Amino acid sequence: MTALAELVEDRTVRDRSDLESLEREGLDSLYPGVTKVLVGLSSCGRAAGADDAYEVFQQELADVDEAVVGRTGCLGFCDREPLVEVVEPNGESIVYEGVTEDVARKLADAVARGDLPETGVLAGRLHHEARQHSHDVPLFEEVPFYAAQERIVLRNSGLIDPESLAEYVARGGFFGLHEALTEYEPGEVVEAVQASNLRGRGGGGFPTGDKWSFLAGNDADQKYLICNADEGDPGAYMDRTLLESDPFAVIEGMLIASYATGATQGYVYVRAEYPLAIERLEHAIDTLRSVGLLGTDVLGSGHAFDLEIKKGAGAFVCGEETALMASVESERGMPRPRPPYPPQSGLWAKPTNINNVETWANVPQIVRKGADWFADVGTENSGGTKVFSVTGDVRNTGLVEVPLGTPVETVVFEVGGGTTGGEFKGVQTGGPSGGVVPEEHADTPIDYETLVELGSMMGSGGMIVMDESTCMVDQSRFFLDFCVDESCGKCPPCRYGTKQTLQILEGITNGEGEAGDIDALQSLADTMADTSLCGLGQTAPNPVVSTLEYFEEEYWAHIEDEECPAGDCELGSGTHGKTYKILQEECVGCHQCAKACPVDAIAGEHQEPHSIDPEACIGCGQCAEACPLDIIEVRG
Amino acid sequence: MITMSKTTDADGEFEIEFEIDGRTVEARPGETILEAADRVGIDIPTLCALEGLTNVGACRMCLVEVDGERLETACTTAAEEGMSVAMDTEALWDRRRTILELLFAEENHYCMYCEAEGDCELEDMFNRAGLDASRFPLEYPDRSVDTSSEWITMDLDRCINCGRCIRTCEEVVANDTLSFAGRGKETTIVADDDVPLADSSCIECGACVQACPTGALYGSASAYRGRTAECETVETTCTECSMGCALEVDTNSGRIVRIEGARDGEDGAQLCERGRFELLADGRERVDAASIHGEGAVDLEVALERASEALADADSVGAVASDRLPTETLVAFAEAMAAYDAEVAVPGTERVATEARIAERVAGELGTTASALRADGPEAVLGADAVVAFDTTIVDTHPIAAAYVRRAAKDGATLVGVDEDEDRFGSKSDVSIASGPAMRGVAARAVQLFEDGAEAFTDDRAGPLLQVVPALEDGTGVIVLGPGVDDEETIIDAYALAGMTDGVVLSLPDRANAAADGLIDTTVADTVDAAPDVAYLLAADDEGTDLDRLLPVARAADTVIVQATRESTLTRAADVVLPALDWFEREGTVTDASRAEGELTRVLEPRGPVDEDRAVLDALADPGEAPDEEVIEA
Repeated sequence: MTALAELVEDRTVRDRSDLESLEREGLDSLYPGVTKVLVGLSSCGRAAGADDAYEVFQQELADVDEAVVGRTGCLGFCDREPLVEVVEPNGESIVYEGVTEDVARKLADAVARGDLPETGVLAGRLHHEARQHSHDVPLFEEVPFYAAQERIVLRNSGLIDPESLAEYVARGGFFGLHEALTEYEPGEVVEAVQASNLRGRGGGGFPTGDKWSFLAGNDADQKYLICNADEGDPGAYMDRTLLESDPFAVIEGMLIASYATGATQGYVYVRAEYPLAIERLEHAIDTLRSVGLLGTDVLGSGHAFDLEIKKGAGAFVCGEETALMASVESERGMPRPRPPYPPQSGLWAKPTNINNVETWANVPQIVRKGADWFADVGTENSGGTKVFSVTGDVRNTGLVEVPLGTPVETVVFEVGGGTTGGEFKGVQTGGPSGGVVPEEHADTPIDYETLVELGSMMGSGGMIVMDESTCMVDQSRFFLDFCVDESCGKCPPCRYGTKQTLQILEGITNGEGEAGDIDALQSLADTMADTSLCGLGQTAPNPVVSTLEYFEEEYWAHIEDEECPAGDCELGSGTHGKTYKILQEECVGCHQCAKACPVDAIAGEHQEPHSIDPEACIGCGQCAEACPLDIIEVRG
Repeated sequence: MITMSKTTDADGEFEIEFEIDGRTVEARPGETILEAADRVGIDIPTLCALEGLTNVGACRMCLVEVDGERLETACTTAAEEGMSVAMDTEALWDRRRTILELLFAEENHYCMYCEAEGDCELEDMFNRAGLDASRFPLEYPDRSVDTSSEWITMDLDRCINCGRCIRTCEEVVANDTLSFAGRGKETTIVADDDVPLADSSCIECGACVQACPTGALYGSASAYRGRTAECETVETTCTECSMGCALEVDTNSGRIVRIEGARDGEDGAQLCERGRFELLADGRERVDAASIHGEGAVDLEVALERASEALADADSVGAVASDRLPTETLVAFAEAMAAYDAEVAVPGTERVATEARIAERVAGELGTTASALRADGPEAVLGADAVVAFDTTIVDTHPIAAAYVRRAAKDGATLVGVDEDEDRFGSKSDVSIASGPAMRGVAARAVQLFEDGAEAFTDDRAGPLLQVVPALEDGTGVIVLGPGVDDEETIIDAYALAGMTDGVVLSLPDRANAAADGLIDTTVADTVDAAPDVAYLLAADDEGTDLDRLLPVARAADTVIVQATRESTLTRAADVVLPALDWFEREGTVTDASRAEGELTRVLEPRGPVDEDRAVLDALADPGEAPDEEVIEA
């Protein structure tokens, strides 16, 4: 039951004591005195089957008084989803992994019997007043995936019900806002954020406090705040997770900023491809409005701030702030020249401050725990942590939060558990705007400047681990393909420079590369970087430039020897080093593999043995997952 | 008149001093580097910037190096004190060359076959950059060619997506027909929801054609008929309506090739379909010789003699002249006809005279002056907070004025469209009132509403008006009277409403020179009353409904003398036909709706027997004298 469901006459939160009563309510909800089964229902969990598990628990435990079933967000170890945490009344909990429908049935049974198994366990946690774990399970902090992490921004993810305001408050939520409103002048809040060294988490790394000071210093009849939730980098899903798991934190950050800068209206621009995030945000906004934490008199302070959601429509370029504002204004999403910058003239020509979801989510704790505390985490130039989505040729895939300054290799080997087979080659950061941190620089501490020095960038947090089975030319081809699709078309260097670059890369990976290609790539890269109107075009060449710097020999192997050393791209097997084979004697021709294949590489008559065309196969493995008899052999 | 430049409100002193390529340049606060450079003749390369349009920094050609550290587009960057700008460097030209090469490879630029060759800004830029080829493999995209429109061809093979056509259609014409569709390299230009131009909301004004830097948009009737450099260009004034737009007419080998809006003019180079295109192609047969009914073509002197005899013998003469003629010709006409005691009329002048009379009277009653009640000209609409348009057919009759009204509405003005039939401004109006024949009722109610307040109203039709009056009261209001407003009561109420709300009335007489009041004292009639013995009709090149106005007089008279440019039912039925000049042969002055004088300049030498319309009239005025030598072409 959420706080909203229990809504009675006047639930307006007017002062600290109102917050405190919500806090009590939340604590009761978090630790209800009976066993609580928390099912991770973020997109990652749901994709793995958590919805079914949730239903099973609800059914099986409906009549069990000593147990309640709840939902939560993402615990970060997306690889192991569905994750279900069973919290006992004494505060000890066990997080189970891979809890599909069948596993859920058995687990529900165990919960009903009060006899928790110690298998299929990811980790144990200690909540509330528990000090020691009586079960034989590794503690959260001991699990390698979590050991090097410091979950500040993700502290509530996987713990609270994302739709429960009371639970959010019980974890300290909105006390930061209260403190800002009652104990600080607006200017002091800005100073605190400046002192914290919080820098833009969308990738720009601009000091957030400075950005706020520009807006605060502008006198205007109307000022706006924007939350950039357009998260377009392929493979990045940090913001999605935050919005799905802890939406109130993002909104509280914006509320604090509205007080600090004088903005009275905010917009969250969410990409339409995040329906669950939108749903959770809508619910959060409705809830906050109903209790007076959004509206004309926030927390009884007399200060006004309201929030509206604007959905994107499938355009990566609308993550660029001026294109985003154009889209909010119902114009075609094309960037505009800067200056003027948004704090001077932004949304509808009014002063505007735009920050990324993760940036906003950091703010409440800076106020609550202090700027110094935040600045102490991280490096001298960058306070706090960064959330990364770690994917690729890595054992532990998921959402990772580490202090800035953590070396790349810590993330890859300790948190990530190392590569899935081959030798570590490098890490791609920054998505289509970024580059590769090669193995020889794996000891580089992760920070805005250090990554730029290597020819990459922080970006929004996408981190793709690559081993020797990844072709670097194909990597840059992939990102350029993306940019060609996503270019808005306003300026020639981007809309056509990306296409020309892609053409050359396609030629190289097809065995049609020519000796002049490398120079041509460099020349196009220089033009795009210098002359493109916005960051999309300016940084589109980065993957090429970066891979050329560290892996030029791979390019030449493609061009001169018509070979892919990684055995990956068109010139290689195209299957990322893997071969898939259907065991002919066992195949009954059910056609499930062919249906699952995204590139139509499997042929076969109904009820006749099927076969995979190795030329067409891209090595995604969908066929193997779909095969009910499990007779598709994977090698490599 | 109006300036349509979108440059930053540059009103002040040249307070800023900065450098471009080592040369000191002055600028006003807020001006861009490009504007300041342009003023002193420094030619920063551009493709997507155009005088009068918002600058968007899309083509990247105008990138300049600022203070040695960053590249900015000169068109969007304000000049600052002490700024050091580098424009003409090898490094920058390197970048420009790559961009041009990309532009070339991206589409299908076959200069050999393109009508814009020689008049193409992309080609000029290539030459300036020292390029004659692109090193990139050509894309050969599949682009569409739209030839559906009568006057405009859209060949997207040549489009560089600069967006000038779109911004022109949005910001200058305010018709919002063109827009971008698709993304990235698939970006293209479409009309409405991607329909052929002829099926779209396009009003075929051709402003986009003039804005297009390449051959993507061109005038079908002018294609391949001569590059601008090969033509002679004459500036004259359009006489199709009372806006008096400046025309730049290109001729080549004695033919009119193209008509464009004045490039440096104050109208922002905007013309309508009639002025830009229809004037090019009058398909009617030319009256190239004088003729007498039943006798065929005759020498001019013979015809003149016959005409003056008929006029002299007549008991009564009724004379009507087209209001599209220059003042000098109309004066000569009036004098010539006065010699025969004729009843003289010029259609359209009645309205003007009536209005003048009403304005004086209302002004007197309200304790102000008539000129205070009148708008200075159509541009008054552009700055208005509220516009009430009586007779929205100005969308057809005065397209440029209609564009101003639409622009005002876009800029936030409250727009009320009142019309006998439907409001032609459609959804662009905040309030639409279809008044039926009783348009006068609407104006009257508006006045009543202002005087008595909302409570006095019982009529349903008042509803929309409740929005009108506050809009007029709160800010600067302009009441536009289209050519169809002909009843005195509406005019009286319009002036009264203007006076009471500190607004002005913009009067749009139908035709070009109807506003020449005071210059033609005798011509306060729109038409001749009685059935005269002899009718003298100076039809000039009038056609359609304009010509139809003269037919009743012609039918009622026993003898009809016509001085006309083109053959028609009138000339075929007339007793004597005298040749007249066409618009491109006329000289003189016309007074437009702003009460400003426009010059008519001869574009092509007349080839017929008449060198000046006035000479014919002067010859008739002095029947005793031998025809002037000027009358007969040497």
